[in-house]
This record gives sequence, C-alpha cells and structure tokens, in this order.
Amino acid sequence: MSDSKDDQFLVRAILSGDISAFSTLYNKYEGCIYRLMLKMCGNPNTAEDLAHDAFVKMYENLDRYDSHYKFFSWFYRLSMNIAINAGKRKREVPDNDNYTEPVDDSNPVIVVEKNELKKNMDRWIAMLDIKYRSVVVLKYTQQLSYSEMADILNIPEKKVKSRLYSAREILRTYIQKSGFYEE
Amino acid sequence: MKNKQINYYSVKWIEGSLSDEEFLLFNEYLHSHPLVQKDLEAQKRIHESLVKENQQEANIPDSLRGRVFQSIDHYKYTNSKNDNIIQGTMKKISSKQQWVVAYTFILGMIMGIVIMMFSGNKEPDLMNLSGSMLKNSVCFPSQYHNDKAEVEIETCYNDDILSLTLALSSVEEISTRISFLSNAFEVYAVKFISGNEYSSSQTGYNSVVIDTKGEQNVVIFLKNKTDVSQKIDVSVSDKFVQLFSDQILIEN
Repeated sequence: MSDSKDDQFLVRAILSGDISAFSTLYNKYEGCIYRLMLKMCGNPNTAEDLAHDAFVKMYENLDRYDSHYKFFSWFYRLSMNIAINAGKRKREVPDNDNYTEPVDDSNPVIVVEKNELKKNMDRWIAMLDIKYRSVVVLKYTQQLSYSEMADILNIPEKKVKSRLYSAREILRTYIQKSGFYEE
Repeated sequence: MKNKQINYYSVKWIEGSLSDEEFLLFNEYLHSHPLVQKDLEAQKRIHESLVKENQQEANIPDSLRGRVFQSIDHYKYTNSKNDNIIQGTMKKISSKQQWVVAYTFILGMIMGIVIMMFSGNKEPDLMNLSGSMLKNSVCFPSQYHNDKAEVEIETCYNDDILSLTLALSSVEEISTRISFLSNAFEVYAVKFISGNEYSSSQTGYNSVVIDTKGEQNVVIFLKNKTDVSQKIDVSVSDKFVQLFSDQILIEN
C-alpha cells in the first residue's frame, strides 16, 4: 500500500519545518483518504469535509506520531476515527435515482443486472452498521490486508474476517430484498 | 476438516487465493457440503461485486487541497526549525568571542545602573507607598457588599500613577479582576499589605487578577500612559458566579 520509509522521511522533513514535504505527503494520500471518507459517509460534500479534517488533524498531531509504527496505519486509524465519529452523529444514505423498490417475492427469478447492482452498492454499504461499513470500506476501497485492517481498527484479525463475512451477508439480504435475484 | 481450517479456507476461497493443493482439498469438502458451498458462492458473488464496484476512481474535489492548506498552521513546525538554527549558530561562536560578548554585556549593565542612579527621574519607592500618599492625587472610594463578599476600593491617581487599594473580605474564595485598555495603563506593581495562604495575583498587559479568601488588603499600582479620561472595569466573582461588576472612571 505505501512505502513506510518514504513516509517517515517526509514526516521528519515536515517536523523540521519543510512545508513542501507536507505537500508531497498530501498528494500521496489525497485520493485514498477522500475515497475512504466517501465510502464511509456516502456523500461527496461530507466526504470532502471529513477528508479535510483528517489531513488537518494529521498535520496538527504529526509531532505525536511514533515512528515505530507505520505512518499509513497511524493516519488511517486517525481518519477512520473521524469517519466513525461522524457516522455516529449522522448517517447519510447516498442519493440514487436508480434505486429499485423491492419486488414481490412471487415474481420470477430475475437475472442479476450487474450495472444496477453497482449503482445500488454505495447505498447499501452506507446502510451498514458502522462496524461492518468500516471493514468493507477498508477491504474493498483501500485494498488493505487483514493484518493492516486489524491494526487500523485495533481489533483482532479474526474479528475483521468475521465482520467482513457478516457484512457480506447483510449486503446479500439487501440485494435480495431489492429484487435482484441470482440465476 | 476442522472448523478453524474451514474458516481459513473459506476466506481464501472467496478471495480466490487458495493454492492448487488447497483448492482441490477444499473443493472436495464443498462437494460433500452443498449448503456450505451455496452460502460461500453467494459470499463470493458479493465479494466480486464489491471488488469491481470499488475499482472506479472517485472525482476528488478541487477545493479540498486549498481548504487543507488554508487550515493548517504553516508555522507550527517552522519555529522549531528556527530554534535549531539558532542553537546551531550559537555553537559556532568560539569561546574567545563568547567572553567578549559576556564582558560587553556586563559593562553595559553596570553603566545602565550608574546612569539610572544619577538620573533625575526616580521611580516611586514602593516600600513607603500607599494610595493616599501619592502627591497631588485625586482619591475616591467605591464599595460593593453582599452576603458572600465585601469589597472596598480606594482609587487615587495623579498624572503619573494610579493606585487601587482593595480591602477584601469573603467567606469563600473570590477572584477580583481589574481590566483596562493597554494603551491607557500599564501594571507597575501589586503589593499585598496583608494576606494569607489564599493570596495570589496574576498580571497581564491589560488586567490584574487577585485571588483571595478571608480578610485581605492589596494595592495595585498602574502607570498612567495617557491624559485622556479612561475607564477601569472591576469584577468580582466566586467559583460559580459574578458577584459584582462596575466601572471606575478616571477623569484626566
């Protein structure tokens, strides 16, 4: 995911007063942090606010970062806490004009329309409880390993896997309730 | 197959990361457990949908970068850098140069003291000074009473100095704040005439705060910096509420 030594070099430069090093660090993490926030909150405006808060908090607390730990784990944990706290206050379900209303169970089996599924997936992820949403977002948006996710979320790896399994089960019920049936 | 093995293989099967040997072994297990296979196949479809769906790049708003850089304190870490530079510079001065600097400084101090001793402008002698002893001064009293505290203030001032003599009496701890414009007055001294273990004072560029409990007497001396009439704010509070608030008018 990221070169830890490069990150630590940039952190040391920032702490020495080199603001351009922060620019480099920002460029490196801008995309993934914004995407993380977007998936966590489901709204682009809120995601921008949360991403802004994450970068500012990271900068403000850089002198407390312990270089024994990977920088990106520390930054991700900080970002996830911001997203989780925001999620506890307010849950946004993304607008989706193409959201399909549930159909009657007696209807014939319908082949899964992959494009329709994709459109609704953001909505369903946003509907997940924050603890399931976190693992789904870290796994599929950030492509993190189980050990990295466990480190960021501060839970055992086994728990990460079980939450992911449960999250997929919940998403499966949303898909079925929405009238998408698998052939 | 043990449960722990099944869980381990299940995760890898969903993600398509089983080795050939593991795949064959687990497939055999799945064929003999069709319900488990159906469940895992459903999980695998969700997994693949999530993988494909999240391959799309999100458009990062152009305003994000500007907002972040506007919000951070650009000088938070640059000051520490300057400190390092200063320390590094000092190290480079040779020991001989350091002695020259030190002797010059000491000589300058001695000359300054001599000049001050023989100069015409003498600062007030604090040991013998109380408000009513200010020469050519105007004095007037102020009083505030309630069941929690009694505060009496004698205000005296001339062209140079203003003194506030406070007689404080309270059952519990109180905090007396004297506030003023920094271009009108400057704190010269705070003197406890009588105090106890609860006596303390804090001075700022535009205020003096006296913390007391019981019977205490304090004199605050302010230097007059202007000849324009000024107001001094007085407020007295206990731990919970403000007890008194008033303004003292100084007419110059």
